[in-house]
Amino acid sequence: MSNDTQGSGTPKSAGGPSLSETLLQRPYLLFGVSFVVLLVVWEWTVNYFEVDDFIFPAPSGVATALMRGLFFYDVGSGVGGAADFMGLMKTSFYNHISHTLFEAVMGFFMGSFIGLGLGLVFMQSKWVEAIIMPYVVAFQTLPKLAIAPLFIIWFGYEVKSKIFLAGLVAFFPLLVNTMVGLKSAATDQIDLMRSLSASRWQMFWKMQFPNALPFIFAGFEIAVVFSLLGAILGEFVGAGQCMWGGRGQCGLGILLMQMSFSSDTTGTFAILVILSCMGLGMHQVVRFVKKKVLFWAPETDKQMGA
Amino acid sequence: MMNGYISVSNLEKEYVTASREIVHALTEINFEIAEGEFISVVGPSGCGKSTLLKILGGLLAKTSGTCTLKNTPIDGPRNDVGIVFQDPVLLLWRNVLQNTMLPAEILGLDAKKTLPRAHDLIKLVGLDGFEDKYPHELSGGMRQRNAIIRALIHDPNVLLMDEPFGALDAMTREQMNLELQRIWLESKKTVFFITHSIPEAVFLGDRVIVMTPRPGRISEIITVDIPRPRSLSTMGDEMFVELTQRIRNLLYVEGSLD
Repeated sequence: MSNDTQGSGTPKSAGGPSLSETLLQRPYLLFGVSFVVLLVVWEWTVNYFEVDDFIFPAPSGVATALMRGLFFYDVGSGVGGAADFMGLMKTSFYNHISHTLFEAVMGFFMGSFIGLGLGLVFMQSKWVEAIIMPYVVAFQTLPKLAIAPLFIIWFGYEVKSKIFLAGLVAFFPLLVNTMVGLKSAATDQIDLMRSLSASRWQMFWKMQFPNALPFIFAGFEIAVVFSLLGAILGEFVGAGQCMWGGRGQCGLGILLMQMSFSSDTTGTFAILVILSCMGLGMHQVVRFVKKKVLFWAPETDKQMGA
Repeated sequence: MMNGYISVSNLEKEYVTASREIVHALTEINFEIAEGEFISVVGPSGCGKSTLLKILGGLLAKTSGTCTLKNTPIDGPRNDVGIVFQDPVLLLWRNVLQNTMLPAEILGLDAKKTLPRAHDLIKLVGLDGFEDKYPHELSGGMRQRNAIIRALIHDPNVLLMDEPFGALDAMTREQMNLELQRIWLESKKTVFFITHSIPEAVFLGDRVIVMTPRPGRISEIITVDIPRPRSLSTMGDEMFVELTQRIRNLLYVEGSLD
């Protein structure tokens, strides 16, 4: 990127862009700077007021816990060497991460594609829509946390119940957004297709479905974040045995619970950092695909509620 | 007597609103259009001109009266009619060529014949070099040109245009008027052209149908006897000024611009 302002028309001093202009043109740089400032202030405040680690840890402590977990496979210091139930702490971070990631990604694909598929089917008939929709809405308003224990009973403690729970929360954004998207065609667009005597099939594939894509991708963006939430939720309620490597139970959710039980706030923060990175990463992947598919829709911030 | 290429007689259109009131959108509509004629329709918003176009396009059912094209009743969309809407209504995920080809695809026409035609049309409106550009990469004028050649790709006899240049700036609009006249002179389609601009109606039309609202009806049909091709300087001619003034008076006298 050049230093030129993009024709904003604001008069510029002869000496080139000022610092504030430079920062505003580079959101990533701005974010980096503010993040460093945040860390410094946080670190300083915690040290100055001598806040206890288990109340609110300093960033340096969190970073250390993170490094230890990621590179030395020694998860969680515990407070004063807290008890390590079930050998949980001896399992590498990566085992926990891979479990949760696996559950979230599988759940995302399963839930969102079923949601997309059902959305497409429901909209083919006003009858189906009218009959099914009240149940969908009623089910959607249920707090998913309340359903989680049921899923453990039905599908067991193992990874299956987590995938289904992640799938359930990923399902609704896609169902709703697909249906709204398919309804979004403008009257003129419908008239255009009608004036050409387009068949229902042509109307759908050549106009309605592509028209719905921005909505559908907005749904994917929501669903991918939700699916991680669903996986963690499932682990909170009951974690299963490690599927590969490691001993005992696996999943960031159960690790989080464990750390909270042993008042390892620093470790908890480290897990939160990992979770937010995972969430961001998954979201970025979806955004990347969306940009490739929706290159024709310059602004696609049609976010629907989920 | 029904000897026009397009014949409309005693056409009525009523709507029933949500509050069960009956609204007369169109009443006592009578006119005939000859083959290859360019008819402009001018009138304030709410005079039912778009409704009239949709009925002619088979997109809307009439309440009573008769509408025929080539002596067959218009009772649904037909392949010998092309429609250009006020918005270009381009499909955003299709480039210029693909948007132009849309009707050919839907009607299942042989691409071997229509593809060269598409390229000819693209050249005709000066979009060559932009074939693989998408709507968001085009200017407003280019989009509308794309929409016009899309309506021409299946070689319809009749072109229905619903305020196609309404959203364009004044200069682009004059440019498009010249271009449309050129396309029409080359293709000799029968054109039914709706506008709310009096000069545009006179500039393009062989005849101008002047409509007034509440209920929408035809106030007068005015013949424009100005030779073709007309240029922008035509708009300064005495006859042109006279005709636009006459239409303006008709609209004001009817009190329809209040």
